[in-house]
Amino acid sequence: MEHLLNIDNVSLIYHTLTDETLAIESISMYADENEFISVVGPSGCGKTTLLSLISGVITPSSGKITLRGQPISEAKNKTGYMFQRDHLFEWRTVWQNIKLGPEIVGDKSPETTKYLDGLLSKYGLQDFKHKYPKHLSGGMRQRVALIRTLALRPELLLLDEPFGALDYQTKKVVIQDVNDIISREQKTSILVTHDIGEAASLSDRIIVLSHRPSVVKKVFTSKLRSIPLIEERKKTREYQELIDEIWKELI
Amino acid sequence: MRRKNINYSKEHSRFLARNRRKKFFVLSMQICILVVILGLWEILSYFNVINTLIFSSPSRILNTIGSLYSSGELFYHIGITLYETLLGFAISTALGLLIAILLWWSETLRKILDPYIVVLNSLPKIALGPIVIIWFGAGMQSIVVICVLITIIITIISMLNAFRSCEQDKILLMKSMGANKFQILLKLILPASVPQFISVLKISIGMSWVGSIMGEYLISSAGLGYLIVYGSQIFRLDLVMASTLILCILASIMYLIVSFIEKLVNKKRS
Ligand SMILES: Nc1ncnc2c1ncn2[C@@H]1O[C@H](COP(=O)(O)OP(=O)(O)OP(=O)(O)O)[C@@H](O)[C@H]1O
Ligand SMILES: [Mg+2]
Repeated sequence: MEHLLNIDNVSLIYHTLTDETLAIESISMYADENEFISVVGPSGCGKTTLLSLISGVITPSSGKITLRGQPISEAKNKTGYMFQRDHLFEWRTVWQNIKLGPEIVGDKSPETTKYLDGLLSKYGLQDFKHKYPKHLSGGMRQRVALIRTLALRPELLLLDEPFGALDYQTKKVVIQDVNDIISREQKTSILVTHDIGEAASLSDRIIVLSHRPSVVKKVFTSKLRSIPLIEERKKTREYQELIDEIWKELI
Repeated sequence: MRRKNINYSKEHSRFLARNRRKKFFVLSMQICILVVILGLWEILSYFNVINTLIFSSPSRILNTIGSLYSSGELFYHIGITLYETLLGFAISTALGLLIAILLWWSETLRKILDPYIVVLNSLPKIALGPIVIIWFGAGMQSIVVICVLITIIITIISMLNAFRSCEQDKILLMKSMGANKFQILLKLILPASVPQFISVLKISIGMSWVGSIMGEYLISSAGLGYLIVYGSQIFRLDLVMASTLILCILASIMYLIVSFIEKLVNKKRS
């Protein structure tokens, strides 16, 4: 079967005046429809670079990335990005923020409006539709950011440490929220994280990268996603074993 | 935000009262200082302790303003200076913003022009006055040009800085949604820089006053700057002081307007 995303022997070199950095040596990986994949690896190993490559914002030095068999450079707006900070635009209301993507591509269709309205109600933000981001809590902001990412109906979500900047309490709620939204909207996702616990509890597969220049060091699979509550997932034996094994790979 | 009809706790009410008292005290002290200085000034000059020819006096300043008003000169001179200042301010803001956008747009252009901007920034612009007068004639045109020269650099530099300090991830976000450079400018860079733009306005309105008054010093035909120079030449300190006072009031009003706009904008943002 053809994979949704295929990364084939991709490498990337950053050129600066003083140096050239081989950030990614040769990565091959794939993602299937509805899969949740986590990418973990040491700091500076090239995780963000990998997501930038997948999003098509930068082009690989060599190798090939395809989405549904199409080169990623031709697949415009098929990927949606979410960052460590929500990056909501403070001068726009919640509604104007989530309309950013459709605005950019010139999508004024009533279906999109309805879809976004539906998402706002479904995820408890309808009352805040016309509020500015400064009136939202950290958790709500992250939900708005996710809906903004969903607005262009991407086939693939790229999450670059989206929970990294949240405090412990908010984080728990947001992770569950994001998990639920992604499952219900059936989005394929690739999450980059430092947190092994996050990776182990959220994913179908966990990809461990080596030090820079990064290559895929090991891939773990997990069935934990069938349990709805993340707190419950974390209580299982499988979770503990998974954590131990990933940990061993990282040190 | 002030809300009435809310039952605060006793402590909070007391806190608010204390706060109000403090504010009232500060304001009354400010007024006091003004009254004391003006009063002392008036009394000392009334009893000829100080020479009114050199120091003038509050009543003489008011009289001068009154006679300027009745001869119709007051608003004529105010109008001219205001016109020069606002025109210089508008041109340098619009042009400065445009240049900043161009420099943001093209990295190469920015690098090419960088040394020129540095030199222009460090140069005391008023030194260019004589050249400007020769090129643009001894009239209002030259004054506006001087005003623009003095004001525009700070607008260019500050706005370029603001544009360039926009978070890289926000740009990446726009790009990942397929935005082109023009959309990034319009939907992200410009609105994100509004707070800095307003603080630049605050500075450049002040610079524009400097420009127009300096210009009038050099070219002298009409305006508040002209009145100040003229007054000092014929040794009429009343006229000098009166013009300076009017200038103070105008500049403050202008500053308050910009501050008010700033408050409106900041209300929306955190
Ligand atoms: N634009 C760039 N130009 C030059 N080098 C870069 C650039 N971006 C990243 N690098 C380098 O490439 C390597 C990988 O960076 P990247 O940001 O992808 O790592 P990361 O795994 O996301 O790191 P972190 O865990 O800190 O988020 C680093 O050594 C970094 O210094
Ligand atoms: Mg990173």
